[in-house]
Amino acid sequence: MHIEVVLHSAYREKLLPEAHGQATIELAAGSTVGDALAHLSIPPEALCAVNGRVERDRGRLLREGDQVEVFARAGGG
Amino acid sequence: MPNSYNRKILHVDLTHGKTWVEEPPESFYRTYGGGSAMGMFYILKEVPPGVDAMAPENVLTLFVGPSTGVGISGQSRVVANAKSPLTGAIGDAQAGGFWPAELKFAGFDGIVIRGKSLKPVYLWIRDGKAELRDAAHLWGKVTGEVESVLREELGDKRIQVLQIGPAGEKLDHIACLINMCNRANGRTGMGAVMGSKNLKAVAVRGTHRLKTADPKAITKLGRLGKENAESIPDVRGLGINGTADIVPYQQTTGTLPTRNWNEGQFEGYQQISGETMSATILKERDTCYGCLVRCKRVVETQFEGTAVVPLYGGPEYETVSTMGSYCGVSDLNAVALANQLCNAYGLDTISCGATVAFAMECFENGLITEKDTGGITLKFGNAAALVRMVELIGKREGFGAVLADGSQRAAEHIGKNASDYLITVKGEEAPAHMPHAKKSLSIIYAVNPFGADHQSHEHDPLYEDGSAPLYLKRMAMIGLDKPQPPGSLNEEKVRLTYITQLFFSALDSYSLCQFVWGPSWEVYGPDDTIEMLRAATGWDITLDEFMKVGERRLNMMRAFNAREGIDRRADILPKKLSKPLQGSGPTAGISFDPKENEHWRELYYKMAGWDIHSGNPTQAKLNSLGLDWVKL
Repeated sequence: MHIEVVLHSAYREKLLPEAHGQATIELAAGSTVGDALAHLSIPPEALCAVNGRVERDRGRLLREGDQVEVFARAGGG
Repeated sequence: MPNSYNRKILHVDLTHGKTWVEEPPESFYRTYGGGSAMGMFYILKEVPPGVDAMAPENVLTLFVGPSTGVGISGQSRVVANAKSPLTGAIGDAQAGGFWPAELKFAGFDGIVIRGKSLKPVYLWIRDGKAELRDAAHLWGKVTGEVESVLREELGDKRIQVLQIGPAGEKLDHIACLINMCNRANGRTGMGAVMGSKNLKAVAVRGTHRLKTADPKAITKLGRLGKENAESIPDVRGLGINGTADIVPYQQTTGTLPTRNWNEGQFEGYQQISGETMSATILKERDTCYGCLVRCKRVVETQFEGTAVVPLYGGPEYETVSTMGSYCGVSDLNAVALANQLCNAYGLDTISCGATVAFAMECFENGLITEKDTGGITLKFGNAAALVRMVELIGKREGFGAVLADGSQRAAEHIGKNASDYLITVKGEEAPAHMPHAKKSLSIIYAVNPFGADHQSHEHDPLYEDGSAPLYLKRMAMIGLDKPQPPGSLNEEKVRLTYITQLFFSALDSYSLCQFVWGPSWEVYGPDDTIEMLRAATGWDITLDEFMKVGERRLNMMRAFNAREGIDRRADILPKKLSKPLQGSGPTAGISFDPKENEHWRELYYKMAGWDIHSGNPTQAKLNSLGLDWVKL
C-alpha cells in the first residue's frame, strides 16, 4: 500500500533535499505506524500524526493513502 | 576562589554619576550563583516596597553566570531584573548573544544600576574600568544607528552594545533591552526601566580570557555536546530551522495561538513556519558566543518596499506566532519587518504582537474603529496594518501610544468589555504556547512571579507517555520518573511544574541557555549541567545544591511580590481561557475552570512550602534557604 509521509525539522534529512520532506512510500498491507517510522529510519519515539491527528500507538494499522507526519518536539522557544 | 568568576561586580549610581567595584566573598557567589538570583539579592536589599518602577529608586541588574564566556555551548546569557512597569511585580528577562561573554572578558560578573541621570548617558566598560559618557547624540536613534555610532566613536568594531531603543526612551511598558541589534531581554518592560534612568546603552569590551578549574572536563563536555547536537533530533531541528521549527507541531496539536487565542490552529501556518523561513528569506544561521547550536536566524527580504536587513536578525517562533498567527497574518515578510521594527525600536516582540492581536479583536468587535486607529483597518489578517501599528508603538505615536504600555493598559483605555479579550497574567501578555494541550502551562502561567512565561518549566510532552527514552532518563535524574498520559493534568503534573520550575530557575541563576542545558530534550542533561558547573568553578556542586539555588531565586521573587502586595490573588489565568476554544482541531472546545486551576495552584503552593492562603513564602521557608535577611 502507499503511504504519504510528511517529515518536518531534522527528520527531513531522511529524504533527499529535493523532496522537501514529502514522499510516498510503499509498505506491505498490514503495516503499522511503527513500520512506517522504521522504514524511514526514524526512532519510534518521534512525535507523529496520522491524517493530521497525533498518534502515539506505534501498532496502529495503516491504510492505503494514509498520511504520516513526523515533527520536532521542543519545549518552549 | 573559583576560577571562572571575575569576583567583581560593577555598581553604578546614575544620580550622582558614580561607579565603583564590589568584590563579594566566595560564599556570596556560591549562595546565589549569578543571573537573576544575584540580581534579586540587590533588588531586595535596595528597592523600597511600593516604589514606582520608573522611579530612580528602582534598581536594574544585569548579571551573567559562572560559565559565561567559557568555551562551551549555551553559556553566553545575561539576565535583567528590576521592578516591572508592565506588571508591578518583579521583572525578569534573559538574552543571549556576545554581550554577556564580553562583559565577563571585561572583568565583571554583573552590573547593578540605580538612580537616574539628569541627562542621557551611556556606560562604557573596558577591561575592568567603567565610565559614564554623554549620550545626547544617541537619544532618539534606533538600535542599529546607536551600535554603529558607538563602535565608530570608541574606535573598536568588536565592542558589544546592550541598549534601549526609542521605545525604552519613551517609557513604553513593553520596551526591552537589545544587544547585537537582535538579541532581546524582551519581557516585563526592562527597557522602560533603563529608559527611565536616562541610560541609553552599556558598551563593553574586554580582552581578559577566563580560566576554568578543569579545562579538560570542559573540552570533554564540548565533544559530548557536538555529538548530542547531531544525534538529538529536536536539537538538530532547532539549528536547521530556528525556534520556528516547532510551528507544524504546534499546529497539529492545536496549540498555535490564532486570532488572539480564539483558536489553536492557523490556516496559514505553513507560510510562517521555520521551514518556510529556511527555504525563502533566511540569509544565514547565527549563534551566541561559543555555541554550536546556531538557532538564531538572519533574514533578508522586503515588505511593501521596506527592506528587512540582516542586522536585525530574524524572527523567533514567538515572533512568527505573536506577529503571525495571533494576528491572523500569514505573510512572513510582514512578520520579518515587524520583527525588525521591534529590534530597531527596542520592543518585546511577544508583548507587542500580542497587544496588536488584542487590539485587532477589539476592532473586529467594534470596540475601536478607524477613527481611533487613525484610519488603520486593524482587522485580523491585515499584514500592512500590523506593520504600521508596530511602528506606531515603537514611536509611541497615534494609536500606537495607546498600545505602547501593553494590552492591559490599552483595555483600561478602550473600556467597555475590552478586558474580555486580554490574554495576560499579572498584566503580561502570554507567550505562544497554549495550555489547552500542554496542561501544566495553566499552572506555571498563573503562578510564575513575573507573569505568564514559557521558559520557566519543562513542557508536558517531554514528560508524557511516548516521550523519548533519553528525555525520560534525564527527567528521572530530578525525581520525575512517572511520565503521565498525554493531555493530562494531575498531581504528578503539578510536580512536573514545580520541580522543573526550580531547575529552570537555577538555569536563570547560573545564566545558562535553556535550549542547551535542561532536564529533558536539550543538548545536555542535569548530570552534564552539574559536571560543567563543577569544571568551570572548581566547586563540588551537587544537583541538590543547584536546585536549591533555583529555589532561592524563586522564593526571592515571590517575596519581592509579597512586599508589593502581589500574592495568590494575582495568580489568575485570563478569563478568556474559561471559554471553550473555538475553531477545529484537537483542542477545540477546551476551556479552563478557574476553580480547578485554584485546586492545582494550592497543591503547587503546598509543594513550594508556602502559605497556602496568601501563596507567599513563609519566613520559616525563607530562613531555611538562608534568606533570613529577607523580611516580609
